[in-house]
Amino acid sequence: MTSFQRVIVLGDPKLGKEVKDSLTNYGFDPTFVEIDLAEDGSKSLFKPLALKGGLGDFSLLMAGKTGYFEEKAAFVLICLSPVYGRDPQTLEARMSFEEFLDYNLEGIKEIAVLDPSNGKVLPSVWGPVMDKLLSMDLTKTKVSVVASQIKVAGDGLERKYRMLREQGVVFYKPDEASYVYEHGITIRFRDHILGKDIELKPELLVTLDQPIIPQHYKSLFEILRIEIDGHSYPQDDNVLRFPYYTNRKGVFVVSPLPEFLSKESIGQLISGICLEFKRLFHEMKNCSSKTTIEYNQSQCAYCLTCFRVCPHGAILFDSKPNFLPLACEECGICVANCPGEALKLVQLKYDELLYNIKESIQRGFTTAILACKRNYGAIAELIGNSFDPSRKRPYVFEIPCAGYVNENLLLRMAAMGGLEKITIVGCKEGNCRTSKGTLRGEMACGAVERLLNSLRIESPILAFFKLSSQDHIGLRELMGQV
Amino acid sequence: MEAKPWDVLVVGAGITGLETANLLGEMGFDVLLVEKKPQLGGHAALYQCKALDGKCVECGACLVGDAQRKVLSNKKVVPMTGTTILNCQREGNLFKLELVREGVVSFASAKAVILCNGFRPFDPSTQKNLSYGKSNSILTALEVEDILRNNGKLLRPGSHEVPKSICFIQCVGSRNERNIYCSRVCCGYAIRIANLLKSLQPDLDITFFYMDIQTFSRSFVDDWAKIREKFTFIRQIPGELIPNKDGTISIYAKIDGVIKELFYDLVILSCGITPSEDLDQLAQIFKMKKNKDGFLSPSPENGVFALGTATGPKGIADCIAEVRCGLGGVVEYLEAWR
Repeated sequence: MTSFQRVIVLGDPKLGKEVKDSLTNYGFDPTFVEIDLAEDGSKSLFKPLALKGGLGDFSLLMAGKTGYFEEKAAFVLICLSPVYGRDPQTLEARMSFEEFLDYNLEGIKEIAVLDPSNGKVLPSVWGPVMDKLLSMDLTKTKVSVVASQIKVAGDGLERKYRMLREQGVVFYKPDEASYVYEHGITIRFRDHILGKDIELKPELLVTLDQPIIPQHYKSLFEILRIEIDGHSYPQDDNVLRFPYYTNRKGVFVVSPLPEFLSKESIGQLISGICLEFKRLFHEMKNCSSKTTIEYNQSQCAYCLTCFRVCPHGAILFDSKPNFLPLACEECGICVANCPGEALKLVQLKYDELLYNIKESIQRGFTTAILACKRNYGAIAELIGNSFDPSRKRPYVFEIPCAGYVNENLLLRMAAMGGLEKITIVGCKEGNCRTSKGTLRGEMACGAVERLLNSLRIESPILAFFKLSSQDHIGLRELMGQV
Repeated sequence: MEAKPWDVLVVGAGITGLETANLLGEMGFDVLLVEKKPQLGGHAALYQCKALDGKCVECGACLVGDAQRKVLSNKKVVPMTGTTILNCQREGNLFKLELVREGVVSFASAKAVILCNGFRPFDPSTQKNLSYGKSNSILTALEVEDILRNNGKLLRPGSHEVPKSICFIQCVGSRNERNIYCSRVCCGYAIRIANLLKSLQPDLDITFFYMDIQTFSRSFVDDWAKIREKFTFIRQIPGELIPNKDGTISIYAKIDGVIKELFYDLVILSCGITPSEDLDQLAQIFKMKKNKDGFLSPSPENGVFALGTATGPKGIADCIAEVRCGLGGVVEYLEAWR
């Protein structure tokens, strides 16, 4: 095992240095690796090749100019800096938000601040812009702000917004505004409250551009086997906004995105990550090296399917798959997808589950609900598992994840006889750390349904249902169905 | 009887309190979690999941259920529901607490205190022009959730008619002279409810009266154009809601320079976040200061911390983020405690 204090800090040099310093202050032992993934590799220092291992024992393989390197650490931290998307045509005639914050505005008579994205600029951008405007002598400079939405959902922003209006800054809120460069800058839009068209000709135009994630980070995430969402944010949880937990346990991300965090907030974020390190130490100390997945070498085809499907990066494949107990969430997706049936989930084997289902049929239940562990509680609480002969009640079984359901299991359930309906309950799409579970379960369900239909065998009705723990409407609907 | 002191007393078992207690418990600290209501979960437990067609829309409601389950299975956390704090004395570095549960007073001591006492939704009946309570057709968004939970769709209370046109009034009780702050969550909350209503009742016409729409989820950037097409947005806050005899509500609005009278079957008020009703009492007991907006401003050097909506308006995800980042200070305090 590597020392618990070792942390690899990867990525952007400016942010990386900051992060490294604060980690040292918190008592960790960070190593900074400047990476460059530019296509031409011109100034490339180290090119990451792979991240092996798991929480507490990571090993990063890199290619340098003189050969290959390996760096070991308990945790990995990626520092991600955004870039600002800019329209190259107008690059010289206007100023970006970051340039504006550092610019000396003395002598300029008229400024316009424009949100070209029609209402997507975040409060964390409006905060520093409003501070900058408040620091100016507004009696000497005329300021117009053109933005379809002013975001004041931040600390004290409503007060700043109010002060600016009192000091004579004009806020226009058109649904859409366009600007052109013909003999200077012209901004045109319609003000729907006043009911007229307006044209502004400011001396200086400040545009609030949207930050984006550079392409080379996307390649880095791919190399490190970190899943990204539709906006390329490497988060495992779509609801929680602070970007520090990825699908690989022990790999964290520090970035001002997506909220465009201020310096202080980044400091807080790092303190949060250090706290998470400490919590994980605790978990590692208390974690016995239990076996979560049983492996049968004689049935293994070495196809790497388990390695590819594991959403938690918990499988390390050398001569055989190793299941890292700290990272394994026991979702069973690897077991469900193993073509050779070489794997078994210790917590709940298929045979055990099928035995229980058979027993429920013998007791007179004709409907089986297989609910994932996040949804089992709510359903079980509502229906209970006592048989009432006057009403056909479903029997609910707990499974680790909807992704544990595969074609084989469903066919074996159908072949038992006695079941009229099988309902699988999984999480809503994008709502669970085991994000692929729902999709895989739904696919298996659909495949078996089609197969049974085409064979024209009398079989139980198969249904897949997506539920979450506070979905009262959904729960009513599910109860109506069963 | 002198029991062993708790490492931390967490006041309030809403989403912030649950998350705080659970995280500290996982790190090996002994946590006493005190909640005045009989059940865990606070305001956040009242919200319905707003997912559309089985796809999550990042409302965060499900996180409360997960947090409840984790706390109940965490052996280091002891939840005490139906309990209020009567008094607190400092003795050296310890907080000596007087708790009351069902009229029975008990004593406990703790090394640090974290206030997660949450918020109170703005009471619209204190603002006369909203005619709240005078008509069945004027509801708060929380009341709409209740109707949805009980009926599975939106019905006008009393008459049980299905409304055809409804409107949301944003910024009720925030961004005004009384509360000079944005409540942050209501835009996202209202638009998510509107989306849910539209998916349940596709022929429903929905209008928003608003000032600015605040960003509320990571997909907002992509969704905003679609949302703007789906609903009518009128950028002004109506001066008065006028109940008519037939149950509809009249609203006067200036559209492209002309004043028009608009009729709605149902008006939904997006009430903002205001400081919780026991904030003053707790601030006094634990000698905490309040900020300009009337929320708590924490004094960590004394061992009293505040997290979540006790310190200002924020959503479920932001509360959890604050806990995850803000507990660093608590842990440092506890590690240095003697």
